[in-house]
Amino acid sequence: MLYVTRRYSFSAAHQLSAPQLSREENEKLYGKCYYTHGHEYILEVTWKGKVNPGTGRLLSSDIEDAVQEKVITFLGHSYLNKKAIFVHQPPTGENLLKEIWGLLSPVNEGVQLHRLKLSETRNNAFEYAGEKIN
Amino acid sequence: MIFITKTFEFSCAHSYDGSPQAAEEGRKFPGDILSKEVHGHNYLLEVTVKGPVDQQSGMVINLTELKRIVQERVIHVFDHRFLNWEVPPFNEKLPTSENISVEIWNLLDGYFPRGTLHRIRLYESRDFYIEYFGERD
Repeated sequence: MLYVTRRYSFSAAHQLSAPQLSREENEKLYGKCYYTHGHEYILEVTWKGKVNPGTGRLLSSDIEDAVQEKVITFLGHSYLNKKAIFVHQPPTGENLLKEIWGLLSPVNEGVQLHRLKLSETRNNAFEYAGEKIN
Repeated sequence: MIFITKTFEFSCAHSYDGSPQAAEEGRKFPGDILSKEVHGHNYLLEVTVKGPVDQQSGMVINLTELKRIVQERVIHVFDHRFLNWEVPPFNEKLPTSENISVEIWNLLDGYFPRGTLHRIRLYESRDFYIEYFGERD
């Protein structure tokens, strides 16, 4: 097995606010993150699989295109709170990462999504490898 | 068990348009138009060795020795070379980062006097890297 990681970036705005809470409760819980702001997110996508002997590569251009289209184009320069996926949950790094996992894990032409790492800033990062039972 | 990683750099040229041998035999490698042109990368190689700490020396492996072995077996072979022409097996195998990683593993596995090779991580650029843990993974 071989693991291939590609690093992407996209810029998006968000405001942390839980739909069930009042304005005061949200302000107290999320502090400055309650106010609309943005990040240059860095996303590392790791795929696991076997090299295609014909191309010498793990990833087909279809997979590379799928990440670009399903995640980077979809989320880049958007206001995350307005996306349907964040109507019922706050667009925290954790939730964003799980949503990205949901978008990419069905893509599996000969490879398997292995790990995601999402850095919100230089100082905050989230990692997820699905709910596999290890 | 401790994991110890040393980083190396080497620069190579390559293309995905095949080797002189492949061209003679009429074989064509697939690849996009850009990667068929000869181009190069500054590869960053991370070699991770795992093992118990030797009580007397306090080390898993002497880093100077690790460095010497990787330089002799890998860096001197790859650095400032045109892979398709000068570094077998890439005269007949596509010099992708995936294939280079497996080749580097094979060049190093079993050659360390202490510890065991755990992982090869090869950065082709800041935004793209391969990890290989050997065939048993």
